[in-house]
Amino acid sequence: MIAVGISCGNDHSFWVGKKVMMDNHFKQKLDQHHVEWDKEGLWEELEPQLPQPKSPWRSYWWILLPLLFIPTCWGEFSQSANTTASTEETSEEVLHSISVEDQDQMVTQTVQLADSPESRKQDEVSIASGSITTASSTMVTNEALDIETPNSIDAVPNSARANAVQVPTQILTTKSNTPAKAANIATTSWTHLRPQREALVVEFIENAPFTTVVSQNETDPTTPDVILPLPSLHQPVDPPVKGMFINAHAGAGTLSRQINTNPLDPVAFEQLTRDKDRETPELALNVNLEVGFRHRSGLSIRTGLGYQQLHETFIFDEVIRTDMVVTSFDRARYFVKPSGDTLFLSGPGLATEVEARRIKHANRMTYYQIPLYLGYNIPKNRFDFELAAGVNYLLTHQYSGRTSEGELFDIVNDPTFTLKSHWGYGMRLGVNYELFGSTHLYLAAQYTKSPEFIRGEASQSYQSFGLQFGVQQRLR
Amino acid sequence: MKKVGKVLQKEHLQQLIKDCQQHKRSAQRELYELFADDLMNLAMRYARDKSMARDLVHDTFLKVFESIPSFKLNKGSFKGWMSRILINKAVESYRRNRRMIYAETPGLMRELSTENLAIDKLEAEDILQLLQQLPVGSRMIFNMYVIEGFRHDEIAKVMGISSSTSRSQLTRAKQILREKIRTQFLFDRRRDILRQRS
Repeated sequence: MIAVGISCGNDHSFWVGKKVMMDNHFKQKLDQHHVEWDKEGLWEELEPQLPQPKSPWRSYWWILLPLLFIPTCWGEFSQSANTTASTEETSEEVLHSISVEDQDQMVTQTVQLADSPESRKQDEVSIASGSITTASSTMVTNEALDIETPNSIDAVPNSARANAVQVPTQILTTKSNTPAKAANIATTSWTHLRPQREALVVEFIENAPFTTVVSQNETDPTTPDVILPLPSLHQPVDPPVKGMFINAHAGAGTLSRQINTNPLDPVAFEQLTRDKDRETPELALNVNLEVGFRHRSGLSIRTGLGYQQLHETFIFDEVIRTDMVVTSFDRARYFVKPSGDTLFLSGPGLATEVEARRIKHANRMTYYQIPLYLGYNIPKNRFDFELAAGVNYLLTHQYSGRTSEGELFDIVNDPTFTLKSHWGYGMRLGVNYELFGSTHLYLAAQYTKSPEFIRGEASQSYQSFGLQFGVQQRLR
Repeated sequence: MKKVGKVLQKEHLQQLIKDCQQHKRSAQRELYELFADDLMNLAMRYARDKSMARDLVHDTFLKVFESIPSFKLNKGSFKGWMSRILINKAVESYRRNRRMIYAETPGLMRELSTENLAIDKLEAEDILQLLQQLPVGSRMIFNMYVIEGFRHDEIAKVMGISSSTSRSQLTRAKQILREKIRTQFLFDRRRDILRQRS
């Protein structure tokens, strides 16, 4: 409260000798004052602009988006796998037709492999069912493909057995990756399978571009015919890769600021909002060096060191001159407004002229952080698609720049901001392309959200969407 | 009895806020009816004229209804919260327009009557007239400090200036007010003298 002792000159008889509590008087009068105004009109104007209820899903879009994306990716992959399987079938049919011509003693002519990603993944020798067709037929029907994979011979459906054209058979899948080992396993398995006279054993050798076929020898049923190796005509599907890898990538992206606030502190909120207008986020740059491990299932984990720099431009109007002009009673005064209009002032009045210049100042926020990401990889030929999400633990950060026009110099780490949490998070959708050997080109779209900083009851964080380029080296 | 009335009033307000948080239009209307006049009175102190004050109230209500879902009941005064929003809106507007040369338009000024020139006799309308003739920045600071009771460091935070600037602007505002009252007084006195002579 300021007591104004008024003694302002010769003609101030109306307040000479008085001490008026101007502040108090002003406050009291203004508090009691009521303005007549068009209240109804404002409501009518306001009503159509009032916010509609928010959708509860709105906050979770960033979770839903990747969840929608995974099935889409999976669907794409499955379709691709089916196409490959069809190619295999065609190849096998051709292959075995040729072998019949070469070997008259063979009972069967066409073999349908019950080859599936699942059967390939088995670590041990396993038996699966498929079907064969007799010599009278050169075509495998779709029903044959639909037979479920049983764990034993007895599980082969009778309906399939009853079919004159299709005879169920046993198909042996192994993890063997050399022809000799495959042949050995096939021969051993033959003994076990022999009671099924009609059986034909087909050996699929994983990780090798050939197929081994074992069939019944008519002259000596105790010894199978082993045909080794039969080059597979299809392009092998890139098998899941497991092991350690090093990933180095860098990139740039757009930057935006998110303000969260408790409305009880509108001052902080408004201040951050105002800063939001004045401090324009422009660019996010980052460099990451990571090391990771990838499981054969396609899941991977990675960590390392990340560096991120956020660029903002702080824009403000520096007042270089401000003059208050008191117009005299008898002279008119003209002012030219920035819009070009001329303002005419006649009679007594006050005018303030402000001359300002616009200053743009580059602000920088740097983060050093440890990323920890979990990913899932889907290999396809020379490509390896990756979806990863995780957290970034902030090790250290530095802010330098100007945040207020009241400050004349750059400030480093604004003391009015405190770190709320060290954790930020991010997501990546990337692809590795095999360049040569175990070196891959890495390209990814990345989303990151920085840790939050608090000022009063409001907090702010940065979001960035960008592209990453780099290399991935797989360690054997 | 008064206490019971106050409790009921508080409960009713809380219910209103809850309904507004669910964007119920009838509750929004009632809340508007309750507080619009107060906000308009407040806006008049910060605005240059009634039209600008109306815009300020408009923006404030939009903001209030937008932010009300995150308002925590039983934590602070709702009216105080709204007032702060209005003040911030006024500051925001001031900052947005500060590059423009602002000139007072004397045509809008109502002449202060001689008998009101004694400060203790100044009526609210006169005070508003005086305040509206202050440069915008000084008016903001004067209002925030004298009427709303902000501290200088708070004003500095809100307006993005230093505390010392806030102090000097307040002093300047008071000087201008005194000058205006003095000028008007002299003008009226001379006019009276001329009238008497003629």
